[in-house]
Amino acid sequence: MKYAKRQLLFFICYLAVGGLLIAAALLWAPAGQRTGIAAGLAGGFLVTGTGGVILSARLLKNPEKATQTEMAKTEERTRFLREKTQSAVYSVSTMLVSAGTIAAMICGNRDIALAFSALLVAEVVLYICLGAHYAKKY
Amino acid sequence: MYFTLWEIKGLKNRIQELRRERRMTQEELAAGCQVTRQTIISLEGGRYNPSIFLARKIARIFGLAIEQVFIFEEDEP
Repeated sequence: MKYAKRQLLFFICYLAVGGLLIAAALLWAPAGQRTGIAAGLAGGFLVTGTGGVILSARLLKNPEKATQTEMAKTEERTRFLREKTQSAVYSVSTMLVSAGTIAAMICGNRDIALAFSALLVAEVVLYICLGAHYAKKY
Repeated sequence: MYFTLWEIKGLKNRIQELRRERRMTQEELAAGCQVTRQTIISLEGGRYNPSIFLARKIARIFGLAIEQVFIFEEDEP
């Protein structure tokens, strides 16, 4: 039940952000492009929020299913799979960004190469910092 | 080479054998341990090794000690 309630709260926040973005889109009417961006974001937030609220409310009506869903989301094998997947995605994304940097350099796209390089440096710095943090913690 | 807790090689278990002896379904064992049936399937298939907490829960359900359910290959006679 806790999980379903947390999800409901999360998606209500989503709806609130969507509402704020719609207000921003309406207030920014003369800003042109900004209105479009805010309206697009609001649409995304409202659709996700509405879907999430409906699903969470249905889950709250069925406590047995809510308990099962919470267990499936938090049990140790699921956590293990999540960690393993995230770790694999990090490794692959690092390789992809590296390949992208090299490709951008060869093609002469200096700005893209610099953006990719900055991403790579940020990833490595984060990796080292988090690694040191967890090494101290455990 | 390193192994995480879940990747210890050479760890066997008798979950399927003990479960069948007690005429339990995977669903019942999963409910008792508060895990999904998929976890029990993975454990029985030897594709996943449990944490010490889950191993203890499983051993308790069978009324045995952890080392009677989970066996290190090097400890086998």
